[in-house]
Amino acid sequence: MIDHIEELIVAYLHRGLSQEQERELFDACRNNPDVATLLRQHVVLSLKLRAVRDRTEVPLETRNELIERINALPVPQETAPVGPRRRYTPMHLFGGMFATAAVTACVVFLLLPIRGTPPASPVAMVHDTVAVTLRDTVTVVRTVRIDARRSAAETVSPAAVESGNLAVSGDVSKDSRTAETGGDEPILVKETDDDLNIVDVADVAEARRTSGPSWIQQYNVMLSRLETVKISSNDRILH
Amino acid sequence: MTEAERRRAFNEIYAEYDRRLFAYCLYVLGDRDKAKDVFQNIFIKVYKSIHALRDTEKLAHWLFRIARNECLNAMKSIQRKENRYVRIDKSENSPSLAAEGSAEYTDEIEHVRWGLQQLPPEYREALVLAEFEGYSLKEIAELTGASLSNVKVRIFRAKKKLHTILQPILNDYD
Repeated sequence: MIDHIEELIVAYLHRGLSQEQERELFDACRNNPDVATLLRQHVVLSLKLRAVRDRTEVPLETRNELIERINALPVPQETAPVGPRRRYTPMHLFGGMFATAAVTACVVFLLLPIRGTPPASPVAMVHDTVAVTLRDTVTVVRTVRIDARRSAAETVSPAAVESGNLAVSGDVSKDSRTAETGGDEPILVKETDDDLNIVDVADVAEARRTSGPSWIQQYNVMLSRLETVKISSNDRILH
Repeated sequence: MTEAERRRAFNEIYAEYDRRLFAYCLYVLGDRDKAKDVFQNIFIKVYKSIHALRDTEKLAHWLFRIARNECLNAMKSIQRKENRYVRIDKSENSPSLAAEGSAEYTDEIEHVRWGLQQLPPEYREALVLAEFEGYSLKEIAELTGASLSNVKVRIFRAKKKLHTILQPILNDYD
C-alpha cells in the first residue's frame, strides 16, 4: 500500500499522474496523516536536491582551462574570411569540365559538313538533270541535252585557235545543231517529260561566234548563258 | 555564422547552463575530477557545433544529450581502465563529490550529496534529470532512451533509498 502511495507521490512530483490517480493521492492524504507526511517529506527531499544543484559551482580553474582550450581552437572553416571571388567563370556557365567538353564536341559536330552528299555543282553537264528550286521547293526538273562546256572547248579550244583550223568549229556547230529539238535556238536543257523545251537558253554557237578567240572568255560566256537557264548555286545538279 | 556570433551565442549558453551541466556531470559520474574533464569536453563540442543548432527551443535537450553521451563515454573509459563502474563502495569511502575545502558532511546539503552518491549511476541520472532539471518522466524517457515505466521505477527506487538515507533530516520537517 505504502509502495503504491510512494509511486503515486513520485509520479505526482514529476507530472506523471492522471487526474484519477491525482484524486486518489489527495484522498489518501486526507484520510491518512502518514500519507500526508510522506508527501511532505518527498517535497522536502526535492527541495533539498534542488539546493544541492544550486550550491554546485563550476570550479574557476575548470572555467579558465575551458577558455584556454576554446581560444586554442582553430577558427572554424565556415567562419574563416573568404577572399573575393570571380563572380562568373566558364565553369559557372557550363557547369564543369565534362559539360564543357560535351558542349564543345556538339558544336564541332554541328559545324562539320555533311558527308555523303555531293556539293552542289554550278556547272551542268550533258545528261544532267537540273532541278530548279525556289525556296527549297523543286519547281521544274530538266535534263541537259548538250554539254556546253565540251562544245565550247571543241569549237574554240586553245589548240584550234593556235592552229587556225576554223573548219573544226564549223563541224562542231553542225553537231550542235543536230542536238536541237526544233526551232532556231539550241536546246541545252529540256524538261524530263519532253513536252516543254527550254526557251531562255542562248545559242552556244552564236556565243562562240561573237566571243573572242580566248577559250576562257567563251567558257565564261557559256557559264553566263547557263545562268540564264535560272540555275543558281541553290540548284542541285544530279549526275 | 561569424566568429563573433559564435562566441556571443556560446557565452549566452555557458552563462545559462554551466552550473546545470556541471551538476549533471558531477552527480552522474560521481567523480569531481572526471566531471571537470567531461564538462570541458561538453562545451568544446558545443562551441564547435553551435552553428548546427537550428531549433533554439530544443537547446536544453540538445545540451543534455551531448552531456549524456560524454558522460557515457567517460564511464566506459573508467570501466575499461578499472573494469568497473564508479560504485557505491568506492564512493562511500571517498568524499569526491564534496565541495573542495569541506572535509566533513556537517550540513544538510553535504548530507544530501553524500546520499546521492549511494545510488547506482542509472538511478542518479534519472533523479538528477527529474529533480535538478525538472524534466518530466516522459522527457527523461526520451533523453535516456529508456521506457516510461523504467524511468518511473528508477526514480521511485532512487527516492525510496534516498528517503531512507536522509530520514533523520527529513524527520526534522515533520
